[in-house]
Amino acid sequence: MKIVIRIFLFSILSIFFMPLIGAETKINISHPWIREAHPNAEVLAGYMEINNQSPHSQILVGARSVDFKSVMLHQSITKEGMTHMNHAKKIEIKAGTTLQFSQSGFHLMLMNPKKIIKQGDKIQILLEFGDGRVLAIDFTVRKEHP
Amino acid sequence: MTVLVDPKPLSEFSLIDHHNREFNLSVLKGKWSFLFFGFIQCPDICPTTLASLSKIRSQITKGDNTPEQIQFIFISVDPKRDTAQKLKQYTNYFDSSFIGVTGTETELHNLANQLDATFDILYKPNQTDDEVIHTSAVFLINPQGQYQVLITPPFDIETISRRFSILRKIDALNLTKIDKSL
Repeated sequence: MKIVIRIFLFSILSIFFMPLIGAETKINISHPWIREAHPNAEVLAGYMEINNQSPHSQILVGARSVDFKSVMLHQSITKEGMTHMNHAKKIEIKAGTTLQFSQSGFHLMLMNPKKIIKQGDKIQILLEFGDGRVLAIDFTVRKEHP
Repeated sequence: MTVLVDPKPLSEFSLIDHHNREFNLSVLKGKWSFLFFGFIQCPDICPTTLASLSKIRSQITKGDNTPEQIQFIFISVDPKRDTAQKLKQYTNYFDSSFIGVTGTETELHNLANQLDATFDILYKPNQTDDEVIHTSAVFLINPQGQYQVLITPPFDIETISRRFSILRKIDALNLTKIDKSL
C-alpha cells in the first residue's frame, strides 16, 4: 500500500513540476566566458548571452559562485567620453529577446576569487532569476571573447 | 581617432611610476606615448582597453628597430589602492613594456585637465559599491611632449596602427624640414 501511495505522490509531483522543467529550457545561455586576469586580480568580469524564448520577461536578480566571495551584476556605461560602472540590482530580458553581456556593457563583476583563475578553467556560476529559478552555468576562462 | 591640427604642449606634472620613480613631462619627451586613465579594480573597460593597446603595440612595433621610442602608460586614478607593486603586476600582465603610473589626486588632475580628461572616485564603506568615473579614451602624446591625438573606443587595431604609422612618418618629415631650415 505504501508503495502505491509513493507512486501516486511521485506522479502528482512530476505533473506539478513538469511546467517548471519545461520553462527552464526556455532561457538559453550561450558563450559564457570569464576574462582571465593577472594572478593577483581582485576582480574579474564574466560575459554571456541570455536568450529568453519564454512568452514572459525574465528578470536576472543575482549571481553567485563558490569560487568568488561575491558576484554582482554590473553595467559599464560610456557617455560623452566618460565611463562609469553601475551596479544593476536586476536586469530584465524581454520575451523573445537576447541580452548580451559583453565588454563595455553588462557584465558579471566577480569579486575576490578564492583560487587562481587561469585560461582554460571552467568556473560554475549560479544565475538567479526573479521567479526563483537558478541556472548553473559553466563559464570558460579565456584571454579574449570567443 | 581625432588628430589635433595644433598639438597642445603639455606643461609639467609630477607622478610616480611602478618602480617608484618620478614620472614627469621629461619621460614623455623623445617618445610617442599612449596614455590611458583607469584603475586596477576596473574589471571591464580597463582590461579591454589594455588588451587592445597591447595588440596595437605589437602591430606598430612589428619590424620596427626602435620600439623603445613608443611607450604605453596606464595612469591609475585610484592611488589609494593601486600601489606601485600592484601597478607593476597589473601592467606586466598585459605587456611587460607597459608602464603603470599614479600620483596624488592633485597631480593626476593636473595631467588629466591638460588632456580634457576627467575622473572621479567616490569611496564608499562597502568597497564593492565604490563609484569610479574615468575617461574611456586613449591620448597620444608626440615626442615633443604635445597632446596630438584623441583615440576613442571602440578601438580598431588595424586603423589605429595604420594611422599612427602615417602620423609618425609625417612627424619625422616635419622634423627633418625644421632641421634643414635651421
